[in-house]
Amino acid sequence: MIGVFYGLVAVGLALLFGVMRYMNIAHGSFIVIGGYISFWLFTLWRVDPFVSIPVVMFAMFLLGLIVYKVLFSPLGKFPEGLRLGNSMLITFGLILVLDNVCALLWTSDVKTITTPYSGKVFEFLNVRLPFISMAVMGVTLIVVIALHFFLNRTYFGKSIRATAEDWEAASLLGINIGRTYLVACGISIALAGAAGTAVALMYSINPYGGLEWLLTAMVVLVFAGLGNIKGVFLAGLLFGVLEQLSVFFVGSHYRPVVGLGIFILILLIRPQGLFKQ
Amino acid sequence: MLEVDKIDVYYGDLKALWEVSLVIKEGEIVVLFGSNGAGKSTTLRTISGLLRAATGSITFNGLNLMEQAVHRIVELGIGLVPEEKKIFRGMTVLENLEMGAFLGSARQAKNTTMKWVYEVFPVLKERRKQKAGTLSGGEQQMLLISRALMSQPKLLMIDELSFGLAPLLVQNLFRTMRQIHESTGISILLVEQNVRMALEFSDRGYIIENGSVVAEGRAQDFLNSQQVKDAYFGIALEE
Repeated sequence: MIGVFYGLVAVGLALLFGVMRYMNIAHGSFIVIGGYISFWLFTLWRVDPFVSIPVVMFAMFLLGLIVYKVLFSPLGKFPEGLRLGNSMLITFGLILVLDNVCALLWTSDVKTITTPYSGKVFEFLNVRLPFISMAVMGVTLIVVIALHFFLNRTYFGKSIRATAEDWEAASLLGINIGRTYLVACGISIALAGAAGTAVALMYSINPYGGLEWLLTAMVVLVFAGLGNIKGVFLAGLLFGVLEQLSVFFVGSHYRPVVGLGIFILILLIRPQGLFKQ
Repeated sequence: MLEVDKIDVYYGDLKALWEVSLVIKEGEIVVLFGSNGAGKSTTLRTISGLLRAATGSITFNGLNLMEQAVHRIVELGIGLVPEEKKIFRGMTVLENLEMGAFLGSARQAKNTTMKWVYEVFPVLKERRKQKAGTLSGGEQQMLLISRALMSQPKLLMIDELSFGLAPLLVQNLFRTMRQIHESTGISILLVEQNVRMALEFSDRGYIIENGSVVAEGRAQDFLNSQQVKDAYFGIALEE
């Protein structure tokens, strides 16, 4: 179940990397910010977090546009080989800024969204399922399917895929690469916002919790092999299942160990990833 | 239609083009030839905006292209079929063609253009649902040309039509290009290794050596010139 959510986190990161070849280390921090926005909406105006997801995504989309304009587009003047490294440096700096802004705005206390239905549990064939997790899973699936639909069925979505494959050829067909990058960056960060809302609902958020999510997302990316969004999402699912199974067998203390163990194993055995053609 | 006037182009500190000038008139087929690394592809890439000229000017129907973004130049009506097989391998043939018609007016005419492209290259219609990466070399070249045609260019620039293809296939491609030219009146600027075939196909030609234009003339005159034969027909004779 958590796997669906891992998938969402990783897909956002993969989209940006796939299209622009930029690694956004601050992806986790954007997740945290998304969480805080929905936390605000909930505590200040009593907006239900599930209702606020579209609002959060839209706000984060706008934030993504700003991030692209201010930080990413100047990177374009570097030669291709230097862009990846520089994007990592810049976003690493961004983490420091964002995390501390969060700490200023929302203090470093752990925050969580507790809705009236937070403790509710479904009973289905004698299996007890927490309501929140099920709802988050449903929403996540909708978001990812919508993204898939956008990338595969709409003209603009296809142009994003074309740019990801070969930006030069895409520009030779009249596709405005700058605009494609801009929108892709916005979507990537909007996805982080959706994930953030889910985190605030299912777990808790604090200003410095972003790196943990980034780590998970990167492990999933390596798991999948960089490339297609579907593969990344499946890898997220698989990784979540493996992690949960490991909790059952070796206990939850060792969960990160198992996750990173799998990571190393994949790098050793199949460095190109599980789903890379 | 297209006027390139004394452009200098650099790769970093390396000077690749020295005062290259050329002219293409409406409806003309022009070939650019010369040895490897002479600057033919560089010229095409500069016209399409992928590279920038340091000095000189490029105008298309009176419009200055020097400051235009790559996608704007496409919008103005210049299409480039790049040298390497730059198809979108992970997308279907149909999606590749759709990308060709990305821009406003081309998108409106998409269905008509696509129908015409399928008539010209029936094999693409058969394979339209296939991933473009699974096509053979010749089919990929057809897809590249078709994709560029989808944007309804007034001037089509082709970098190495014959690259890596069997001679018979190349002959067929040239024949098809001739048909396309005759039915649409499109202007073509060609860069080609197979000089003899290209000259037979063209109206005029330019020879580029070491980054400068060293000769210009009618294709027929080049075909008759012993010097050109000795220097550039080697490849064709080996067939």
